[in-house]
Amino acid sequence: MAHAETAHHAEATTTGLNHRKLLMWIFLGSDCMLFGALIATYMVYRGQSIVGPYPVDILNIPVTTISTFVLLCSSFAMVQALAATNRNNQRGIKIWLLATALLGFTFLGFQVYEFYTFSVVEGLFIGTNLFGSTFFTLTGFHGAHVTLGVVWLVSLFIVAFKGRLGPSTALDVELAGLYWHFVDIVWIVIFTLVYLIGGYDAGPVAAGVLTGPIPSVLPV
Amino acid sequence: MTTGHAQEQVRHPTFMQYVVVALILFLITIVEFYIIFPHQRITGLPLVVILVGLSAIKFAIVIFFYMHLKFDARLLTWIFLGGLALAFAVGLALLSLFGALRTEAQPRGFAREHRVPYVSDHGEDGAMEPKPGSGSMTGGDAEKLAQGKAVFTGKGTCFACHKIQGVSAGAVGPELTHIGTERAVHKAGMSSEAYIRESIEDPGAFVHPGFPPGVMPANLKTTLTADEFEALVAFLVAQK
Repeated sequence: MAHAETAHHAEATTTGLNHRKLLMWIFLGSDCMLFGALIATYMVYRGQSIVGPYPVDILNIPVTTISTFVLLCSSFAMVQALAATNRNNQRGIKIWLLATALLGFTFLGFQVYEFYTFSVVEGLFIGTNLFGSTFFTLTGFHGAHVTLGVVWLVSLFIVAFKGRLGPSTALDVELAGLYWHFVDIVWIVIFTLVYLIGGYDAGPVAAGVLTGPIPSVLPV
Repeated sequence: MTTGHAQEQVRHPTFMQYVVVALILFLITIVEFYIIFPHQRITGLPLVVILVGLSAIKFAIVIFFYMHLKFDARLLTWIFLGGLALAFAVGLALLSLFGALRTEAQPRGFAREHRVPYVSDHGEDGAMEPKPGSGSMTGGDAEKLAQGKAVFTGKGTCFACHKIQGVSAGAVGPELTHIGTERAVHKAGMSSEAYIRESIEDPGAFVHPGFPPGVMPANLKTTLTADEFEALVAFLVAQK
């Protein structure tokens, strides 16, 4: 059960931790702040849009719940990929890495569908209202993270395909996994705040402030 | 060469543990979905607290098991939680700075004064179908709804006891956010409008389970003009 670093090129570091792993965690900690700012901005401008469409008009909660499941499944596939790498199960490495990448790609497909529906079909663009600006900025940054993760996973899959992944290079898989799970937890937060809690947000019209048509509560 | 490394390798979770973790994550997501779909079964602050709590559990499970912080060097946990805490602090500061720490999404003054109707915004170019229930509403209807809302939040004093999301926050009587839907009718075969009329004219005819009888004033209708009463009913019917 010798670890990569201890077996091959043990490093003496002041923290006793591997540099790359430490760096990854510091990066993830700081990335929290990026998303923290974006999420807080969404919450600050929540319910402040003065033109539609509003979240209640266009958010499709069932579809997004499915894409949330897809991302959760990909996280499970990712831990299996790492476990296979540690066991030097070459076939397992390839299968689970590919599964993770494909599930990530599926999640992106859902997001493309969502962005297309919101913008072209429903008329919500990034400049339409505060909801559009904050929503597309927040989910767009998350989508960019997922995209980078998929590219990373596919690269790893290619390396695995050449048979170059194994217990001695397990850290390569582990770091990609940390990044991938981070993307997953960010989505857990976004899904909760934007879709579950804010999914029924309506504009001034539905709030009854305006003498105008009242939108239905649920997007159909 | 540290003991931390050796331990980390020995103490990765097993396959079955990962499966259990995944199932817990799925289950929590299903519960969350059930709470808010097809309508919010809980509202207001409890909804926020419960959903944030559930997602915090998911968050913790992922970082401690999938990202195996539980089995890794303690320093990594502190580094990550440090960043997370800073993010929280910045977020809370922003929210309080902009006065957004409320449980309901109410537009602030500026938004209220500069509002633009949603449907007319899209009706002309035909980019989208009008939403059901909001379609061909005449100016008279809109006026009536506004009058009904004024009665609800004013003369009728309904708002003091009944909550309608985005309108009022009363908690004495049943919430009326979706009173116009079929689901809200507790008498078989009764239309939504007839049910609402009956409940105002004779509050004792049906008392919502979980609420004491005799609290809702029975003479409400006599305090309103016929016009005001009709407007109030129309406003409530529109609460889909």
